[in-house]
Amino acid sequence: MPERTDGRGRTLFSAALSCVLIPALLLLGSLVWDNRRYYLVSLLVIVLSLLPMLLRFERRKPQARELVVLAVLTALGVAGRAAFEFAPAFKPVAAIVIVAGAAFGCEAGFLVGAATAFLSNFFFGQGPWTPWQMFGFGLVGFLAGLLFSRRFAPKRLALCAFGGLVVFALYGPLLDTATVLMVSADITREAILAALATGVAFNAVHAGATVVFLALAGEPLLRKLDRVKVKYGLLEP
Amino acid sequence: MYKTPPRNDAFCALHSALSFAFYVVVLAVTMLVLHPAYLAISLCSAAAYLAALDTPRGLLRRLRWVLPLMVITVFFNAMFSHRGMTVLFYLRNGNAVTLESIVFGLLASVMLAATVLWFASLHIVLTSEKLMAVTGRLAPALSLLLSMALRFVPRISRQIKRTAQAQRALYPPAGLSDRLRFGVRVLSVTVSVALENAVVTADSMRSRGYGLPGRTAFRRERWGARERGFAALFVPLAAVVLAGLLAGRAAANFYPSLDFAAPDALGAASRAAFTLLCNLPLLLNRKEALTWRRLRSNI
Repeated sequence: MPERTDGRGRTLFSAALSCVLIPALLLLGSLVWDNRRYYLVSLLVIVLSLLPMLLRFERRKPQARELVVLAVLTALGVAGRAAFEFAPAFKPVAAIVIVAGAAFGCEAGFLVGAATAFLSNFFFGQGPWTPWQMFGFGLVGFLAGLLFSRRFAPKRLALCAFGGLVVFALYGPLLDTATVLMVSADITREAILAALATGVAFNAVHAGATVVFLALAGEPLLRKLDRVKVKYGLLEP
Repeated sequence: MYKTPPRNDAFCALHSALSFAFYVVVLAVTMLVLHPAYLAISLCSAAAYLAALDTPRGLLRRLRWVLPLMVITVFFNAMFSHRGMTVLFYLRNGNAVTLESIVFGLLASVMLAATVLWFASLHIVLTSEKLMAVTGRLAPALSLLLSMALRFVPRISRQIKRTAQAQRALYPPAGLSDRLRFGVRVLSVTVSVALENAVVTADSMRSRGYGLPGRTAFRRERWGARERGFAALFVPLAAVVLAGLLAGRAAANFYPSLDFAAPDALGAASRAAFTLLCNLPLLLNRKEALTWRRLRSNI
């Protein structure tokens, strides 16, 4: 396992990149496009916020073991989403992404989230919403890594509470807002409120599913991942 | 789950870089332009090519969930966007429903549908091998991650079935809580097996020299007469389309009133070029079919 000493510097660099480019883009949107191309600007903002993480991963030349483990977790997410195809909101994806983040850290959580959203959309339909879902699930995994990837094992209750909250209050509203940006040229407060209100039931089911999956499978999965981590010395967060 | 490309589709056999460039141009125009002519061309071509690649029934299956999405988009715009001059009628709360917002909703919904259909055919044409061949140099780690994950999906699904079978025979589940525990056990066994396999795969990759310079792709790429011919059509067509877009021939304003750029000579050329460009895969297939017929009748 190579030392990851310059991780902090790279994080700062990518954060700075996002902090400069995204406001610049928003400014461009309001000055040049007269605030009419919400959809385009918001899509570009999302892509720009995905890029630093992906570039960072690419530039540090990950080991084969790391890659394969991340691919397995992503495949689990995709297979999980496909297995529950009959239930629109009841999906285990968020739970798997949270477990990945908690076990292997922020970057792994982000990558597994983004890759799961990207790949599973090949089976569910790819569209302008894909970058939003990638960013949403990536953020969920990143936050899980931030909160739980310390030395001690996360408590089941904390994991469930985090999962429910983050899906209901972060992922769901983010995607609902994205819907308004995608379908409308005229962004009003009432349109966004209406979209959020319509989404409440769906998000509640999604959050409930995440809590159920985390309560049932969270701890066993984390134990498995920890075992592999210790056995092979993988992906220390 | 990952489809193998149809054997008789000539566009699938083309150099990966060309397929990739084709989808980049077509998707970019579809997603950035809100002009009815361009969107109609894009949607029709996407549907036609998808029907040829898959079956017409496959196209209908996708339309089944795209259509409700389109209806919602139009409805949402009519309800919540009250800008525009041409008021059709007033809602009960006093807000106006305008022609402009309905037309915008229609075009946005066509854009969504066209994007979805293009991505559906992209998924069939750009197999993971082709994707690796194109992006393998740009982003080797990420594209490997994605293509390995795609490969693991069916493997994990199979493993889940096998594990469930064995577990059901060993400990037949009775009752709801037992069934839940059974599900979790199957999942956790599958994860263990998949992870152990993953590490073995990784070690095997390392011992075969993964990460060393001078990497090659699995797919053998050929730049022959067909590729040169396709590029000779594709590049000028894309240039004409782009010239039309940059000169504002695809401009579309919705508020306060509808204002679409009318086609002059350049606009018409750009639209014709876009029609040809979107249908290049179908034209290529047609040409190959004719060649084959001629060859066969010469025997």
